[in-house]
Amino acid sequence: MSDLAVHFSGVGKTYPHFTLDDIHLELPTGSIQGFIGANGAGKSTTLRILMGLVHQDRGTVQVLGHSMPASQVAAKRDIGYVSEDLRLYKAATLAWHMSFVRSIFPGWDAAYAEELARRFDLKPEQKIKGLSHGQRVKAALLLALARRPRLLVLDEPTTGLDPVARHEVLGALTEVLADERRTVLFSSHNTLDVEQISDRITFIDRGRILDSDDKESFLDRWRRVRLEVPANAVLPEVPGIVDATRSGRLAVVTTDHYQPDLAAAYQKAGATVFAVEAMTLEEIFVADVRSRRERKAA
Amino acid sequence: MDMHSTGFVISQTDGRPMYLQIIEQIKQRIAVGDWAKGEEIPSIRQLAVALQVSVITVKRAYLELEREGVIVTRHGKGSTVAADPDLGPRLYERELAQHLDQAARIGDLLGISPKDLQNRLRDAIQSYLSSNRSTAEEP
Amino acid sequence: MTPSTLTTAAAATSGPSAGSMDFAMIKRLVLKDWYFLRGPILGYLAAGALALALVSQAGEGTFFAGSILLITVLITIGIHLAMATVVEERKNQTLAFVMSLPVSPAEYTTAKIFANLLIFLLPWLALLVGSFAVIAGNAALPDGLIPFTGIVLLEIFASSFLILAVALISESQSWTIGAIVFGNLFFQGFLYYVSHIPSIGQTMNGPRIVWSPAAVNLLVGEIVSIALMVGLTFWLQSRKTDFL
Repeated sequence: MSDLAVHFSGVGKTYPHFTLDDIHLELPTGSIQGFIGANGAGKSTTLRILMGLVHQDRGTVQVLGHSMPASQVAAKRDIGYVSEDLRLYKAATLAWHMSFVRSIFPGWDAAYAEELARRFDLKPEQKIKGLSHGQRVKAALLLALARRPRLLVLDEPTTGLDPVARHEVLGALTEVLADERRTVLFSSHNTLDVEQISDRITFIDRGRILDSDDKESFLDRWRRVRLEVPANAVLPEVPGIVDATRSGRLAVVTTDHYQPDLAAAYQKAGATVFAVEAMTLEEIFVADVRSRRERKAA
Repeated sequence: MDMHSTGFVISQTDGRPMYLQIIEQIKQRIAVGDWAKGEEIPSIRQLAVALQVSVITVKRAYLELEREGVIVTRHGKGSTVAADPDLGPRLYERELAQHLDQAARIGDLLGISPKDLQNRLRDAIQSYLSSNRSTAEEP
Repeated sequence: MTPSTLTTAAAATSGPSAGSMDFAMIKRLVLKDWYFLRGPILGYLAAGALALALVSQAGEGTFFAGSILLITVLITIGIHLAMATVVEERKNQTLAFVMSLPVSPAEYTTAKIFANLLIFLLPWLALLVGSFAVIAGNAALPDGLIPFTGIVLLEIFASSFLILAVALISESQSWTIGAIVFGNLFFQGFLYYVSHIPSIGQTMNGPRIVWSPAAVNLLVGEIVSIALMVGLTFWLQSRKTDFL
C-alpha cells in the first residue's frame, strides 16, 4: 500500500461557468508538490475540495487516509491550510490568533512559533488590521506552520511577498520536509519558487490536469532546438514535437520528450542544429498550455 | 557538519540545472579537502533543507556522485565521502574526458573541422587563463 | 427552548458527524464570537438600562421614548449579531479561516446558532426581566402591560432568529437585509394585531396581570415558530455541498 498523503481519483466539479474534470492527484508522504496554473484554471477549487470545503460532484478524495468531505474534521486536525481567500480577524491581534489556534491543536510548538515570528518579522501584539498584505500572509503561514501539521496545503503562499519574505517562507517550507513524514502541496504562479523547492509538479489549465511529473523529469524532457533549414525545404516530421515556428531559414522547435537522436533526425533531413537549449519551468508551462489549447481549438 | 556554513550557492539564473551545480560544488569541496575522505556528509534531506532545494534534486545529485564513485551511501546510515585517496585528480580527470568527448561530438554535429575545433580550444584556454590569472602554465 | 432540543435537532438533520459533535470546539467558536461582540453588547445593555430608566419615569413622553428605545435596542442587537457573526464572517473571508479548523459544517452551524442565541439572550433576558420589574414596581404603570410586553419581546426574539436563519442559509447580505425589512414591517403589524385582541387590548391598561388563552396561544405559537426555524435551519444547512 503506497503511502499517499493525498489521492484524488477522477474528481470533478461542475459550476455554471466552469468545470473541473477528471482530476487525478497523487501526493506521496514526505514530498512537496507544486501546482501551477493560470488564474481560474481550477487550482483553488481543487484545494478547497481537498479540504472538504467543497463537495466534489464525481470521484474520490483521500487525504491522510480520510475520505473527504465526510471525514473532514479528522483530516483537518492534521492539515494546515493557507489561502488567498482566507483572512484573519482584523480586530484581533496575531497573539490572540496564536492562542486561539494553540487552544485547538495540541501539536502547537510555542518556541517554534516565536522563532517564526522573528524570522517573518512579525510582532504578535499588532492587530491584524494594521498589517500589510505580505505580513498577513506570513501571519497566516505562521499559524499553520507552528502546529507542525502532517500536511500543508497552501494556495499561493509567496504571491505578493517581498523578496526577503519569499526567501524566509521558502526556507520555512523546505524545513517542513526535514521530517519525512510531513508533506506539502502548494499552488503558485511563481514558477521559480515551484522549480526550486518542488519534488513533483502538476500543470493545470481550464479545469484539467495537463501534466504531472517529477521536477527533474520535466526539466530533462523539455528542450528547445534551434535549427537552420535549407531555403525551400520543409521541416521534417519528427515525433515528440510540441511546437514548431519558422521564420525564413531559422526554425525553433519545442519538444517534450527529448532524445539525443532528435538532433540526428534533423541532421539527416538536411537541417543544421545549432543549439539544444534547456527550458525554464515557466517556459515549459507556457509552451505546454499553449500547445494544448491550440490542439483543442484545431 | 554545521549546516549553516555549507557555503553552497545554488543559483536559478545560472543556466545549468541545479543538480549539476550541487554536484560540482560537492566535488570542489572534496577536491580541496574541505570535505575529507571517509567523512560523513549531510543527508539528502539535510542538504535539501539547508539549500532550500527540493529533495529530489539533491537525491539526483547524490545518485550521480555515487555512480561516479565520489560518495558512498549506505542505506539507513547516510552518506560519506568515498575513501579513495586519488579522488581529487581522478574526479577532474573524468570530467575533463567527458567535456572533451562532448566537444568532439558537438563539433562534428556542427560540422566544424578538427583544426578549427583545436583553435577554438586554444582560444578558450587563453581567455580563461587571462581572466583568472591562475598559476597554470602556458599551453 | 433548551440546548438539548437544539442538539436533537442538529443530530437529526446533520451529516455524518451527527451524534458525535465536538462540543469543546463549538464552545471555543461561541467564545470567539463573544470575544468580538462583548464591547457592543455592553453598549446595548447600557442603552437598554437608559430605556428602562426612561420608562420608569411617570410621564407619557418619557414612557413612549423609553419603550421605543427599548424595542430599538433589542431589534438592533438581533441585526448586529446576525450581521457580525454570519454575514461579515463570510464577507471578510474569516469563514475560510474557521473552516480550515477541525470543524464540520454542522458544528459551524450549531456554533453560530448557540452563539447568537446565548449572546442575544443575555441582554434580552435582562431587559425582559427589567421591564417586568419596572412595570410591577412602578405604581404609575399598569401591571396589565406585562403579558403584552412579554409577547412583544418574544416576537423580537423570534424575528431576530429569522434574520440569523436567513443569513446562514442564503449566505447573502441582500437576503439578510430583506429579512430585516420584513421583520420590521411584520413587527409593526404584529403590534397592531396584538393590541387589538380583546382579551389583551382591554386588560393591558388595567391593574391586573391577565394571561388570557389568546395570550398564552401567542406565546406558545412564538416558541414553536422559533423551534421550527431552528430545525429548518439545521436541515437546510446540512444539504449544502459547498461551504465556501
